[in-house]
Amino acid sequence: MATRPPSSSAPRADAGPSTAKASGPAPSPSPAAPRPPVTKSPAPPATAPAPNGAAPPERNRYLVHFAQAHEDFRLAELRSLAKLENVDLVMEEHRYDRDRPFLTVQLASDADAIKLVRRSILVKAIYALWEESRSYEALLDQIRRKPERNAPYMTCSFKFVVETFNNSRALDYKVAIINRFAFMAFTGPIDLKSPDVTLGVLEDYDYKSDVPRYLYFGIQLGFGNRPAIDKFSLKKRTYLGTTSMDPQLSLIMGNLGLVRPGTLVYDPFVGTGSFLVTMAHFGAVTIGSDIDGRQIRGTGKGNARRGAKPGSASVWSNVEQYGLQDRVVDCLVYDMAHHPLRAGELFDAIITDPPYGVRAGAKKIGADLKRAEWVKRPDGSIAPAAAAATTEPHAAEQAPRQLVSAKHPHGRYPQTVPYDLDAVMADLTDFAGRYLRVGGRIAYWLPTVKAEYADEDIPTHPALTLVANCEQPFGQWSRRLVTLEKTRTWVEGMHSSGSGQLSAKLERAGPGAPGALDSVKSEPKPTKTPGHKGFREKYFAFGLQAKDGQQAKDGQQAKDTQQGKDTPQTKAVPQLARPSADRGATAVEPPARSSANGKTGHVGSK
Amino acid sequence: MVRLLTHNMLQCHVKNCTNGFPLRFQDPVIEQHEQEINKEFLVNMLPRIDWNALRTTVDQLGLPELPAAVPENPAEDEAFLAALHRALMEVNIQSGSMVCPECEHVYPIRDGIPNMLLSEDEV
Repeated sequence: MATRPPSSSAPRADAGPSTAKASGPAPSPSPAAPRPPVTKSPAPPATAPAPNGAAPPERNRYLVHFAQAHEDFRLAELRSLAKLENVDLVMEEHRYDRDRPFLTVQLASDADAIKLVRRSILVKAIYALWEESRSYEALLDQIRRKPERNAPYMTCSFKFVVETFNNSRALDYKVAIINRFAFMAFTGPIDLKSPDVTLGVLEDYDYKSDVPRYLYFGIQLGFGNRPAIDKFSLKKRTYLGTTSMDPQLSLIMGNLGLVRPGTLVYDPFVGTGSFLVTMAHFGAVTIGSDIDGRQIRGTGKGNARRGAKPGSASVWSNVEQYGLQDRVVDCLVYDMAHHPLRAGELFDAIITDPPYGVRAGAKKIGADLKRAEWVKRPDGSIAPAAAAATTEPHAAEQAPRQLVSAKHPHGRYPQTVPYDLDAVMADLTDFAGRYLRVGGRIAYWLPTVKAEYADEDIPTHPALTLVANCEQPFGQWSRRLVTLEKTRTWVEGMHSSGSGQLSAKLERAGPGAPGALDSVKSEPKPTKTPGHKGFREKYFAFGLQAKDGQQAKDGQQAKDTQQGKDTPQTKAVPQLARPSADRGATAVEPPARSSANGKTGHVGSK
Repeated sequence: MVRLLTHNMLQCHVKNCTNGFPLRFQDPVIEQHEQEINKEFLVNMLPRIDWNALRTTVDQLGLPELPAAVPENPAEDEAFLAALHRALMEVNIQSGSMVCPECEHVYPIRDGIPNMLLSEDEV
């Protein structure tokens, strides 16, 4: 039998019918308050002495019951919530199996347990853990031996629940299990709707087994916040784009980013504004920007849903749908590579999903030098050809090609050049290092090719510390939610670890040139090429390799997902493998398809 | 909307323009939308706001003037927070433009969304 820490035999200090279930808005901690560190220890007995010899902190053991989804995010979300809620969390990671939804933890109190999970998207419930065992005989015997523990619950209303993992059990099975606990002899009434206490039996099965391999028993104390997922379901969203983020993951980002009331959150690739509403849900004030104003404004009936008037669907219609006008402040149009923000540690959190360059190509302002209207000056700067032709040395400075003119009263759209993915990530990291408050966080998605990925691919910054790196797998590629915390004040000279060299190589090969990837690979590489380098090319290469065996399948699937549209363009796009454990999540990253107005190959950031 | 909270963080970013803050409103169409005060947020944001720039802008727009300096204990000063809330969060510039005081670059505002893009030779 595996050794485990001894359960406390004394009645729990705060035992009694729980009065506070996880519900209602969380009282907000002051954003500036320092938080105790979250500790993780290998196998601490519940009563081990502290290193300095002081009396050990009183700890109880609890069982966290997770959803079996987004497994790589679960512990990271819980750690972030512990920090957010000021809870001293000890996780028994040596007993944790990511293929199962159970984690035992040690906390100071039941109140801490309820607080810890109340915002969680991946936790179903938390229990005060009374007993655990491989068999019912042993489990029931352990319970029989501690009758004093039942004392607070003898007369209040109660119910039992039986939760099973990897096996779906019928009601009569569960009733039979519950009856085995009759010896506890509670005298209070059974109340299935809102009992004073809920006792939980959790059964852990091996796949296709009929006998549970492990059992847990305890008092159900509180729930996570999974109902929020449905509230923000994309199926109900008024205004959607092809790149709107799955609400489950969006909400998880809010927890990893420590987003809470009183804070200012920024999304520099705001697109259709998915994050603005989910971050405002956590009480933050939000601001967004994007190089593509069309996504912010909305483009009319093609994007309208749910009875919205044609032409009225936009980021603002989503904000109104959820009643969050007070918290979503502004959306602005600008190029992140040339942003207009004054220097300062302005933001508490940056929550964003940068364009990967597949369906929505990243771009930045720049002159297309092949065009005759530009010339390059000796000092490397560029000028409009007409101005450079004059003999006046400063003529060009005096007459810049303004965007606003009689012909373009709202501003003409400038030319753009491709904005390489690893440059986007490095620049974003640099931005976070400068513009986050100390204690603030950035959470962003990094797509990468599995075969080429290594941890060094993630850009670093002297003022930022990596907090979490959670993978969402899609077969040959995956995307990683990278979370960094600002731990020092920015000072002059701090920069993110760049990919400037690799970006330059790709630019020399020509933007979007088919041979670009090959030319980078053939050069000797002193440093490792990030797995997300040239992501767009690699992404489409997967589809071409698979195409020969897949054409018939592609045709059928393209029809299914296209709402009836079936253009040659869609057939060539590879179908993504569905992530294996993505149950309950809204579909993510469907294959690139024509936008509703019939234009294909739309290049805009999200 | 272009709220003054946002405007307070924006500067002109044309290449070699070094003194483009704060931007000057031109032909602003001003709307005032009442909304619930968020005191925790205001107190949290105060240290990050450029107070002189906010005061100058409020003045430029012909709105009730703000005090010359932030009071000693802003969290306790209800009247101050109310005035700050009105200026920072309830004033919306729906259209017009923002102009750089140094290089005169024009940033148009349409439907409450400012266009801060630059020309190809300004980056």
